Amino acid sequence: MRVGKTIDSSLGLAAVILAAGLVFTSCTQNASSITSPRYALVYGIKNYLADPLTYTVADAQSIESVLESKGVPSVNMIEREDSAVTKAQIKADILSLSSVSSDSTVIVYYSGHGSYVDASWGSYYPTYSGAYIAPYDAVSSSGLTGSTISNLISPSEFESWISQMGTKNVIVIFDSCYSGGFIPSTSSIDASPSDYSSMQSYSAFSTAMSNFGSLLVANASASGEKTPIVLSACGSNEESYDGTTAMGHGVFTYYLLKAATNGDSNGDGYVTMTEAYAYTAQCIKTWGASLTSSDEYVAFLPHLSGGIRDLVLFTN
Amino acid sequence: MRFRLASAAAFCCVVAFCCMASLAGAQAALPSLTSQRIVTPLSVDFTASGFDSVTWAEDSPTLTQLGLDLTAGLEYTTPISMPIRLEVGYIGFASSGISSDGEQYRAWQGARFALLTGYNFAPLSIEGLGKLKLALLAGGAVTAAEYTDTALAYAYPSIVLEPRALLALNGIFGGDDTGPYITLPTELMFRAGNYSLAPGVGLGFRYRIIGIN
Repeated sequence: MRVGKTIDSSLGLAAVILAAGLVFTSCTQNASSITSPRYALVYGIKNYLADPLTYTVADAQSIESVLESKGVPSVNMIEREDSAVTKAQIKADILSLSSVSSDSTVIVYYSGHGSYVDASWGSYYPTYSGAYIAPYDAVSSSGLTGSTISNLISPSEFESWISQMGTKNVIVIFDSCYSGGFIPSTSSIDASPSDYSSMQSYSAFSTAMSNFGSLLVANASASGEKTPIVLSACGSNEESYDGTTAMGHGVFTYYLLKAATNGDSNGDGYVTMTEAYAYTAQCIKTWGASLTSSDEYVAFLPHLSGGIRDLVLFTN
Repeated sequence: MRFRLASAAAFCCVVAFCCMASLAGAQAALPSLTSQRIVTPLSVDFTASGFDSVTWAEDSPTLTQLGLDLTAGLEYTTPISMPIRLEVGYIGFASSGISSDGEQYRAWQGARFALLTGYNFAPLSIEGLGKLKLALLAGGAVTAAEYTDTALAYAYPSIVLEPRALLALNGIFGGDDTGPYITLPTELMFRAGNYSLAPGVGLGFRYRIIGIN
């Protein structure tokens, strides 16, 4: 019968196309293993001359150890602590990677103080505004002063150094206060509140619907140029938590370290930045909810930069 | 959790859309003193499609992602065989594989809204069974989406090409424009300077709204 042949043919064609697609996808997705070089710069500052921290050097040491066991050769790793972590040194380390191959991945991790200079500081430091990280030499025994403030590192300074690297595959992880300020603006909106007092908007889907027009405009104006994938311990207007004795780490880094072994949600042998973010965020939600019935713990939720691209953080 | 939220929202959109379509159909066929069965120019349908998208950009790897689309459609058939079609639905894609330098494309999901038009070809009669109705549709879509497992929201436009073959069986479902169909949609998405081409295969069912006059 004609109809039988027609329908059989249509279904057959569809089945062939779908099967071919699945086979193609399967081949494409399973064929790759990471062969490109991987580098890491790891910094931890605990013994500031004023306002010392507790677990930040332990954070850096553990991150170094985990990265070494999860895909970054020790020869490609620089780990610095305390007084060795100056602004000039960080810049020099980053620029030393200007000649790495374009398919390399560079991971930059920092655990230490962050600072937020707002309008109330303006009369003292008129050229400073927004979120910064504070290397060792940005803090004197009197704290942040006029003679040390120039050693703060701003997002734009950091971005300009990063842009001189030989690769665009750059991962930035900051466990410091106000580190969300280092997340570059892209075509996406981060629905996580940068300040927990505004958390009523905490839904990516409803944020997408309510900002539909502006997101379409942002999408249209995006260049597609690769930007660093940034994971921060908190929002641009929040403080991170230096951790507890039981953790021995800052809260964010404590769960990030666990993500290295438990965060591979799709079982492909890799923990991507998105997987690390999702695992860490979920653990912090659970931890926060066990401490208090209020929602204040959302101030300690990590933030992730947007874009369609993701990068592998840990390999297994 | 966010997956469920987006799914629930998309499902609500679909239900609301179907209700609106039914109301539109009912309004088009208000009863009069002499009842007569009429075929309205409106039809509603539901489609489930699978996709295998390819995403690429300058200086980025070309990787594929599997996707799923659940769509409710409302179609108005003009007298000149030119349908006008509205679609709303849920769309979701899994993350891609990983390139040799450790890059991947993120999974995403969201609500998709499309406006299509095209041409309904003359039906092919199938002796003893019914009619095979072919259509070619094209149009644009916009999607409000989130990257799965993140708090990142975004939106993107796309263009859609959709050939469709509907089988209207004699004496079943009560109308010559009602029945199951197969579709081969292809969507080109413009995503923040990157491109995703998603060919797919879909199965659906269309119901031509019948009124009483």
